[in-house]
Amino acid sequence: MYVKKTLALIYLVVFLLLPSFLTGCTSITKDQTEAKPVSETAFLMGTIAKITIYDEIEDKQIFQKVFDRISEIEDRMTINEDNQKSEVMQLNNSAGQAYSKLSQDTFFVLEKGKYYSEISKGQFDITIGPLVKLWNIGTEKARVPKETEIQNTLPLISYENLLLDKENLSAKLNNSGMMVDLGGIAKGYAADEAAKILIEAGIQHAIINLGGNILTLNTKPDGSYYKLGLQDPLEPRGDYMGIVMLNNQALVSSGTYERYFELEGKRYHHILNSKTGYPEDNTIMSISIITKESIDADALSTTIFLLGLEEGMQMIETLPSTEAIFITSDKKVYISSGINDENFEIVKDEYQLQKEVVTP
Amino acid sequence: MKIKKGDLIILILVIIVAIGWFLKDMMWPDSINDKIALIKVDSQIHSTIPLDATAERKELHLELPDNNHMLIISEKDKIWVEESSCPDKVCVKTGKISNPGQSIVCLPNKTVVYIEGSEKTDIDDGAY
Repeated sequence: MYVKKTLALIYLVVFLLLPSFLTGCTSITKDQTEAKPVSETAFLMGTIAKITIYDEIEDKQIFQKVFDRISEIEDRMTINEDNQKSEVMQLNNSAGQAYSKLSQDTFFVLEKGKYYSEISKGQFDITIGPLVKLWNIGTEKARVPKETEIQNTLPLISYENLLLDKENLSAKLNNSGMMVDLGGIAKGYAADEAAKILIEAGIQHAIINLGGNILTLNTKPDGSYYKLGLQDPLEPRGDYMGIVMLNNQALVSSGTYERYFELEGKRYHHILNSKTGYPEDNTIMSISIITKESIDADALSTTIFLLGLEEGMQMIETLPSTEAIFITSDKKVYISSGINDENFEIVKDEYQLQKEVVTP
Repeated sequence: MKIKKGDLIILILVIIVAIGWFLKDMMWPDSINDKIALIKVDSQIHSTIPLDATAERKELHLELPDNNHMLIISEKDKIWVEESSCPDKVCVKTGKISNPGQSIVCLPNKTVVYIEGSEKTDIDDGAY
């Protein structure tokens, strides 16, 4: 009789365990991580803005509020000609004449832009506007300018001649013809501001993706880090070569693959060197920056790209809470000292992690 | 009373089936192919096209605001933008995509082609 009871017990245990066997251990983690994040997208700042919220959403208008804020920043900072009311357009139009009154938003971004221009000794230059307009890369008017046009434009690029008056929240471009271009920094600022709106609404877990610029709020609800695909610079968008783990951090990539045009077999990409007047021609194919605030990652992605591998890496190591991943055209991957197995993984074998920066 | 032969066979069978099922899941997760291309215009879903090895060639003509148009073609498990009225042609240059998570974006036409699938993706979002 005892045997029969034991048998019945074994059957019972087996059948009770069966479901967990069938689904494997994944069922446990699934329930926690798949709190079903909700995303919404909008076309803003010349790109796709995607907000993903992992928390319960109480305020149904939250997405719209975030998009409205981003749109407000865009209206203030755009240099798109159909928006003559933008503060940056007014600043540019008054170049060489008068100070322009600015909002807190625009002033703060100009200040940051000037700071990065200073620390990179003008490699990144917030007054690169005239050169950007000359090339028009990413628009239908993109073309290779004549050498004389470039030489005539270069003297207009000088961040020292962007005068900022903090007390009166106003700014002036000292020489006529000068133009500020916030294209390399405004999206970063917009992401930080979007995060503020989410936090005010009680959201604790979210991803803000502004045209590939990532900003994460805390970790995922289960405490695990967000996993972000790092674009393979040689493949279509969405094809990633590595995974970066983030916790309350920003990740911004810049590269030759983003915006470019081709003429007679030569590729001209959008990251312009303010000293030569041409697209930067170094070994970097893509650079990714990890920081606390998105505006810093955004400005640094361009800055470090222009500084090149060695000088760029040196600067990264001097900045607090700042890390970088470089991919060179020979598919080698260089990382700063804070990047390790815990926060970065290469998923494509053809990309090779290098131990240190070696002078070519 | 001893354990009957029949009991033992059932017991072993159950365990084999359970382990077998578990292994199958490990080796071929979501073996059913259900890749779908989502075409979104101005953040609204315009249409969906199933992508698999047996799918026939489909041509989708998009008529967009301001006399813009796009021609999107899918064949088997691939989809691409063949023609577009946009100035930069980034969407056409993107080429053919076939993996879940990949997308083709045409900013001027506010159009996105995105591949969804139950194949497990390792990532929560992508930086580019």
